[in-house]
Amino acid sequence: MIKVSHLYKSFNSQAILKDVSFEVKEGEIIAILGQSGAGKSVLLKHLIGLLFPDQGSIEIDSRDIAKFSEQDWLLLRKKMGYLFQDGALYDFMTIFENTAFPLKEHTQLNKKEIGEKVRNTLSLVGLEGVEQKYPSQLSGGMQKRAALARAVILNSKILLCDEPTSGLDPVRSRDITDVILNISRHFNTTTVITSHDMKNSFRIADRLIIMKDGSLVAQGTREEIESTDNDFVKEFLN
Amino acid sequence: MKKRIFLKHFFQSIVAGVAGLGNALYFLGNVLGQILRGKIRFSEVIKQIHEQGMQSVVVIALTSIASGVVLTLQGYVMLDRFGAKEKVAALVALSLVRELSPVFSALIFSGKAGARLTAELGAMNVNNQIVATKVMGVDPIEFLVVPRMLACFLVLPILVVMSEIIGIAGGYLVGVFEANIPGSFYISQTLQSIDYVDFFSGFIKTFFFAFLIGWTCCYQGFVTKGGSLGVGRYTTKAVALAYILVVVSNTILTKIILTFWG
Ligand SMILES: Nc1ncnc2c1ncn2[C@@H]1O[C@H](COP(=O)(O)OP(=O)(O)O)[C@@H](O)[C@H]1O
Ligand SMILES: [Mg+2]
Repeated sequence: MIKVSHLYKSFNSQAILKDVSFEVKEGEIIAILGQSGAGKSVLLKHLIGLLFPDQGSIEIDSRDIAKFSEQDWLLLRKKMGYLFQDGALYDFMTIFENTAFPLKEHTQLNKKEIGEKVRNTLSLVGLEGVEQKYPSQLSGGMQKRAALARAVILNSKILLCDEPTSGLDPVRSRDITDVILNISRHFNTTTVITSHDMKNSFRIADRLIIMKDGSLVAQGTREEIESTDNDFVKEFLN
Repeated sequence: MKKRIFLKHFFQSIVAGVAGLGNALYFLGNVLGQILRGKIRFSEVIKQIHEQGMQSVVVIALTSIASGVVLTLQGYVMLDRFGAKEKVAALVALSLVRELSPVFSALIFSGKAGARLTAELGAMNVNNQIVATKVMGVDPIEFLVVPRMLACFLVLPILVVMSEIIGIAGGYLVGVFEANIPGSFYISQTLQSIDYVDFFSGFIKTFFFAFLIGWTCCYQGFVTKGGSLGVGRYTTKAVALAYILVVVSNTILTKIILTFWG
């Protein structure tokens, strides 16, 4: 579904991503783990065309994104959901309007159908009875849930989540991780999550990728990662 | 040594300035491109007109009536020295319509609606709402910028006409109740003195001002970075730029208009 090969990226001649290669299969949940500043967000932004590689290639659905036109991106983005670290909900819209936004923009559904779909998706993420509230009236965790609902409401095939648990206490971190797992299963999305939260990543990811200073230092299943003898990974795990 | 460092900074800021202008022009090109392709969300435009208008209307009205009153009080004294006090209605009307209302309305509009534009877009920017728009397959310029700039362009001229009427009404109050000029005489003097040329020489300028304010303030909001501090910095910068653009363009426009229409 997603294939990244030998990706390099620098900002102002400072190398941020160095020779990054990995694959994500359809329906898989992948967690990219690494300390703050490792380049996780930069990597994720490459997968949705907010940043472009200096070198290397990215294939999505077996198509090279270097050859994408604006129109191709538009079509692809309708099939992708991106959960921003802080949700990035429109603060001038209610939760209902926020969640309905992609449907209004990209589908021909009528008012009633939109209402139904919004309520269904909001209940999937465990948000009920807050449709008429504004984002600022909700807690950070609830905002992230609403943002998640908005990200997948077009039946996204690919879901990218940037640090979904950052800024949340352990209980809410666990909750939002479970919600992401549910959503991924429900919509059968291919999911990439960045995080420095090991516990929750281990719980839901099929495979994990460990990053350090822009390079991948290990990737594999939980068991493979736990049994590695790479010093950095061992240290990171403790 | 010091001189070299100074020169280096000097050239760096020139390069940055040129690059900034280039980016701002590119941004403007995008906005105009969307408008020309008819990508206009009318309901958003209406919403923006309402918000921007409501925000500036009270301060502009207050300033207008105060200016009308002061102009009449002062004008009456000055004209009396030349034995032309019956011309005060004309002096007030012409000053307001040709110059004062367009300029001070534009300045107030920069400080109220313009600041709001930058702060709003800037806050959306630092909270990733603008990138999120793009990621959802919607053009942020079309959705967020075009309605704001169009609303600017439509609201300011309306506010200016309102300001002119209120300013003249302020003058009328002083003229009639303070200087004991008969009301009907004051009104007929006002109407006789204002020619089409007078009205339009001021009115045309408001479209330039609205365009410059909308462009500057939306652009600065669109490139805001640096968290909530950044929002404050870019907003002040946008308002200062808008002020300068209004004042400078007014000088140039006045000269051009007087050359053709004097
Ligand atoms: N647009 C940018 N311009 C310059 N530097 C950037 C940009 N985005 C990220 N960086 C730098 O890249 C590095 C990695 O950032 P990021 O991917 O956000 O880390 P994280 O792993 O915490 O998500 C940081 O040092 C950051 O300063
Ligand atoms: Mg990050």
